[in-house]
Amino acid sequence: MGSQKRIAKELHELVESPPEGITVKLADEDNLYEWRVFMDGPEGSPYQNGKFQIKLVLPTEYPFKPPTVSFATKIYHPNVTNDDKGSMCLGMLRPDEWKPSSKIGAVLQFARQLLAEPMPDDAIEGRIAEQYKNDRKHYDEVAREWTRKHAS
Amino acid sequence: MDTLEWLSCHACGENWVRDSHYDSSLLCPSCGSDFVQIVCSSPRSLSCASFSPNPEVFAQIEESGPPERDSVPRSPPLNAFSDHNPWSEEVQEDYPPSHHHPSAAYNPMDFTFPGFSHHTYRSPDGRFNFSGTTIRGGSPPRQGGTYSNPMIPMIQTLQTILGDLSDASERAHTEMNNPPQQQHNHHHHHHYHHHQSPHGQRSPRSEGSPRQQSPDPDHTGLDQFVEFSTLFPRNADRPQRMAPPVESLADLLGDFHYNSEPRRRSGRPHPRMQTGPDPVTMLGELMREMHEIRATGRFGDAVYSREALDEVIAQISQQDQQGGGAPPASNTAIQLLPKKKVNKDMLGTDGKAECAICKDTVELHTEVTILPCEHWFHFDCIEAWLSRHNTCPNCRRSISPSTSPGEGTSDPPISSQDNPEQQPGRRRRRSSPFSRSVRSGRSSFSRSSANSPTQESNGPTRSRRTSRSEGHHRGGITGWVWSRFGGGSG
Repeated sequence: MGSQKRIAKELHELVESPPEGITVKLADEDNLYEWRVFMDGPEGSPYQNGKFQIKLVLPTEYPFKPPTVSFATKIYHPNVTNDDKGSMCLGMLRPDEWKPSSKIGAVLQFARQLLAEPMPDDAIEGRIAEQYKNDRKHYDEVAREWTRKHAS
Repeated sequence: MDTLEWLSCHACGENWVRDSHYDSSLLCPSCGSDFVQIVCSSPRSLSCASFSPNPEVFAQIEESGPPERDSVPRSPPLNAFSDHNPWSEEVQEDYPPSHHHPSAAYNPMDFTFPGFSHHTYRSPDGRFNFSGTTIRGGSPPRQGGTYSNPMIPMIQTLQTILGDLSDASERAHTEMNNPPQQQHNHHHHHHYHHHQSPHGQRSPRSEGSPRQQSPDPDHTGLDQFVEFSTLFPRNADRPQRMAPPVESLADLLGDFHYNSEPRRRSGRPHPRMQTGPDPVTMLGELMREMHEIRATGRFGDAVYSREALDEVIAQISQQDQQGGGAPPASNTAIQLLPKKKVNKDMLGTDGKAECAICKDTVELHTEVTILPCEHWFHFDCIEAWLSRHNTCPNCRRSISPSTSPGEGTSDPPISSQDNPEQQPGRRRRRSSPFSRSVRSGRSSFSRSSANSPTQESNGPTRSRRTSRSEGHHRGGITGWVWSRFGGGSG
């Protein structure tokens, strides 16, 4: 299967030369389609010093369909659903915006960048987005508190 | 005061005359019962002999054809009071109807209340119902006030209300069907609309004009009946012509339904525009909307039931799954794409290249498939992508050559795809996947038809139209700009 070959290749690359702050492994050695990603909170962000576990699931149609990224670690962020799913809202992962040329490494780097710079106008948690825009200080406090509580 | 009183004994049937001046007892001289009634009293000088004990005025329904109901001639009573029954109005079920209503044949649909009687006739084929209603005005010349039914005024009021409503609704129909000068003449025909049974498939409106021309004897009969009905006692509050009797609330609701239903199907100009704020039309409209809400749980943008909400969510999520993105390319379009062996120019500066889909390195002289945007891939890889979306996986330009200027509209479904995708800042407007999907469903004409929920069902027509207008855009300077700068930059 073409997709397995590509996935294996991407996994190999990511393990060999991981992007900054990101480590990946398979959730189950026999299943190429479910990954565990550990992401360090970017420095300078309220997520700094946090270690976030991310679940990355690849569809069997990968790369023709996008992977899904969800935070297993609770995180206070405008673009991550504040529920037990922790779905991350990434524009590049939308079905109509996904490009098969995008690689998983790029997706994860984009996700980490989103931790450093939330996109409140594209938010899934409107309340957190409002706070991010209007009361950054309080937002930082809560995000830092959650990071300390859940991600360390 | 001396009066002559005519008395009747209900125990033995004896009738006698008593002069109250001499006889003050109310006992039957024959059996001694006190179950007696003063039937009539009059000053001494007058006689009650001419008194007809049952002076009912009946609306007799006349048919032009052979009479459906026989008029039973009343035999002159031997005894003036023989068929007088003071309780007949209230306890009629104890008596055969023909007994005290000799002029009307018994019909199970007929009913009589004190002061109010109703008779219906249903034509053999079930298409028409004729009905007649009698409201007896004044008080019958009865002695002793054997009854006073408090229901009478209520029934009459209800009758007036229903009649008024029905009237207004009828007026709306008439104005719609007939030129105003004919309005009065054809008014009567519409009586028959009201009673037309619902299983008549054709709506009266659609056959309105032929009916006016047909000299069908049935209609004459109908007119006769209606003319007759105008002689009925009128309501003093509303001294117009007699309203057609409305049998039940269901009839009236049927009118509303009738009022609103056919106009949605027929392509006629909207009657509401002409009739103005007609209360019945408005009521009917309201009820139609309520019906719609109850049937679908949806009205316009709003949902009113859990099911409707689920439906919307399912629709959106389905749209999101299959949707998101351009529609598939046709197999022929894929097969027609040019193939080429990789040469040095196609390799990167480092002398290497990979297929963006499988990420495999592509060696020199490997045969690859080239899209109109110059991006190239393994045929198997690009085929797998194009069978899902007809755009380049790199730059999202359409694979159709029609996007180049001048060729315009040759392959419609494709040309509209990449344009909106590339509008800068488009993503910014989105706040959530839901709102985005809803928006794309609404504005499918202005945006990419790929996201339209109707794309699947009536795709060809819709996308053809969309892309034609897009094609015009692309023909001019805009098109040139797009082909020059818009395409390859994504």
